[in-house]
Amino acid sequence: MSIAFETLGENVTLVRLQGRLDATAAPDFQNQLIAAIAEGRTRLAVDLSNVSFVDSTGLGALVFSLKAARRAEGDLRLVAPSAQATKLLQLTTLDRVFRTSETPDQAWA
Amino acid sequence: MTNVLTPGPALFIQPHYDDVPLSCGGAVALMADWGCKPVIITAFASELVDEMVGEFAACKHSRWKVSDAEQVLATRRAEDAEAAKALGCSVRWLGLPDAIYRGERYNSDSELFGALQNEEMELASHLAEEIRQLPEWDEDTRVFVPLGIGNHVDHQLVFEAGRRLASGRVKVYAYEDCPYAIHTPEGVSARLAILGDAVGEPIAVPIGATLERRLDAIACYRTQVPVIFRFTSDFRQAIGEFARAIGGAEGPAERFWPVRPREIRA
Repeated sequence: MSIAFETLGENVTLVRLQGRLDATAAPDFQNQLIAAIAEGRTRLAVDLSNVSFVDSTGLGALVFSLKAARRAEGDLRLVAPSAQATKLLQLTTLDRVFRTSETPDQAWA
Repeated sequence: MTNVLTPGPALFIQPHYDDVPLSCGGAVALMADWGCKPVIITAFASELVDEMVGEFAACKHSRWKVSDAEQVLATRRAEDAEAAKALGCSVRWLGLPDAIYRGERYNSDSELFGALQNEEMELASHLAEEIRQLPEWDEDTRVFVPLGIGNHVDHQLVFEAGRRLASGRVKVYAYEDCPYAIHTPEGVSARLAILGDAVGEPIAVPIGATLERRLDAIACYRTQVPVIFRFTSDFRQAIGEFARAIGGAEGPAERFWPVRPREIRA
């Protein structure tokens, strides 16, 4: 999985992912997000539009990072999750935890 | 040696931290000794945030005297890792929330030990797919799931995931959930009656000296042993007697049921 960080307006960091957010990719993804939060990037929008598959370990990394962002008085929001990711969020009821938007611009609007 | 424990890759799926060492730690240790590199997968090991703690979960936390969920999670994982090490295997934690954190699906103990909600069957299908895509997966992997004695919904859900894997030509065996099977023996026949032809005849696997490793692994769950074994003052004796009763003349043993594929209707 590839990860790219971009700066959006109002001190928001867009995290673009490509590939699978699964048990193999999740540890590195989580480490990179935690490092970004430690650098002060606490308002995160994670773009899932190019993520083909998310498993529960991937969701766990998102929740772990969300907690870290909140501790730093920020937040982590999801952008454009696929039908598969949306279904998993519903099945696990984690859809109650994350704010989701269709585009990066809407994430912190 | 029975065909349950022939050498080869194996994943032991436990709903919660501790279920595999409690139920079939001897088999895990045996396979580790053979160089099979068995892996314990803890399914419901998610992170926790405030929105996940509803009224029932808060009630449970209060009953368990949980004031710092972060610390509890860290402790449970440390105990799980220590137990796996005692058995000679590794452990992987998935990110699925425990039943009490899955919204309002289960709002009382009777519901927690009652019927699996229909929407949860899709979660079982997802879990089956997720297991097949784990880094440890190999074409020859055998999967061990709980039989579901005691009817905890998370145990039922993992069994259902096993059933789906069995339908995909994976060899799946159900282990005997302990301590449910020890303190409520009638729960075994009750569960088997519910399952009907979903499982085959049980196979007793002699575990010999690895019984001690199973007991040592169970002892690693320091925060849980007093709660889990509140029906006895000596958990080692309770587990040992149960294993010896299963094995009879062959010494201590653990029981497994072959899980059959779901019937495919035309």
